[in-house]
Amino acid sequence: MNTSRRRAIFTAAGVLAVLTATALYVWGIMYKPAYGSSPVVNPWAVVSSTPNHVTVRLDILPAIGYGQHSDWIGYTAPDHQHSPNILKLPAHALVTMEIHNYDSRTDLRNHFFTLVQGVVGGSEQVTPYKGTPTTVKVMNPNLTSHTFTIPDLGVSVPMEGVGDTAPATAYVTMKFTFRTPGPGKYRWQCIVPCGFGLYGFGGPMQTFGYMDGLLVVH
Amino acid sequence: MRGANHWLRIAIIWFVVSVIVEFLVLKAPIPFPTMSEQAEGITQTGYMLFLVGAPIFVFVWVMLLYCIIAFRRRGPTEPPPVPRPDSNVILLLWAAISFTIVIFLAGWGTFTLHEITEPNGPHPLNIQVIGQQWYWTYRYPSYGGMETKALYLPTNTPIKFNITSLDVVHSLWIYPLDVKEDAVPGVSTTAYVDVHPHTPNFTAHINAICNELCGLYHGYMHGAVYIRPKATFAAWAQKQEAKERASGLLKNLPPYSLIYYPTANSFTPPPPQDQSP
Repeated sequence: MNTSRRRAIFTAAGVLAVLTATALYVWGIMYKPAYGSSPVVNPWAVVSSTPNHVTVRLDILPAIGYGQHSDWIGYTAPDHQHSPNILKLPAHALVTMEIHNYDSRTDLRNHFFTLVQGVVGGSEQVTPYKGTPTTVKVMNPNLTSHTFTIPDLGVSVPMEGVGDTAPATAYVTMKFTFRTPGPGKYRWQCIVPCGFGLYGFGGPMQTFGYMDGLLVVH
Repeated sequence: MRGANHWLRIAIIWFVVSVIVEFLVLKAPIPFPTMSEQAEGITQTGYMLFLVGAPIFVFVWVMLLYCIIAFRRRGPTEPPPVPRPDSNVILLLWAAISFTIVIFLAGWGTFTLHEITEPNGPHPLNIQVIGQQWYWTYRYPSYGGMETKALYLPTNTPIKFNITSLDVVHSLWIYPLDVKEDAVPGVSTTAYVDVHPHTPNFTAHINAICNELCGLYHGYMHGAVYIRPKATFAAWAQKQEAKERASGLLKNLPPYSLIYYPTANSFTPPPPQDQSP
């Protein structure tokens, strides 16, 4: 084999290797959770499921307590050991979310997200710590903490935070229902920056498996 | 060059190829945006650049290829060519034609730039565009400062976008309207548009996307844009304002401002930074 042909083969092999490495790196960022366990669907958050109705339980912990960044804030399954980064849900079904928020209050960057949007009945049920359930359509911005937002579905629900004097085990319960569309992948995120860097949008906000994830509607 | 017929041949080849290229340029299936007055102006400028530039491009290549072929060395015994003296006529013609083309294009471009950076009429409708990771929202100061997640635009109305960001730099891009402007935190940038309907009661559903890498989900940062006739838009806006007022959302929103400083006590200016070394 002459020199120029050998050089061409090596160059092509090098380019292919770089492209493969880049593709693997991008896949690692987009789909492999930072905490390193199974990257696929998390079933631990789904507490009941029929073809037409699914109930999902999630908790928001100020420090998730496991994985690569155990001190980061994150949504987690009720067992506090698995992040709900990918939730598998049936198409054209009702999904009832019950979220226990253990985190404190923080101002939403944009008060537009105090409005409950895209859910059945246009409201959520909020049960404060040692309080009674109330129906909320627009949350008081002094009580907000996070959001559960699915941009492509128009769903955005503010989460109330616990008061400053509440014990560490206190939480506020939010309950709401939305309808899934046809099959597809729909990302969800918290709109409120409370991580690190860039006014709070580094870290948990931009690392898959903490304050964002995917709904896989099948 | 040897022989006067070379110029004639080059001119004929150049003319024929230019006509073909100009025809292809005009008929090319490029989906230029034409849904607004500004988009039409930019599209026409683009076509003008193609139409003026194509014959120049063709001339350069025809000259190059013709000289390579016609004046190639045909054998070892062929004598080298005799250099010709400079021609002032050719130099002056070259300079004059180039100058005229450049001035013409500069004038055309300046006129178009003026058209797209000034409102198309008096009292434009102000709409604020707010970028945040990774969502667009829009405020209408003429309607109580209400905020929506979809952009509604009336036809036949001069519109002024005041664009800002709450976190990092984004860029609003609505391709069919040819609106593209950065959203910078702490700054209000401006874009103008006048939606130009081709038919009465024109409606459309298009997309606004982000054109500046702004984080992990930059590629997912898009929102719906609904274009409605003026009367339909007015009815929607009044209804939406009433809905937001009744729900209490309007009370939660901060006073309308061109820029916002999100801090722990949202929407207050940040403390001055210590600039000492």
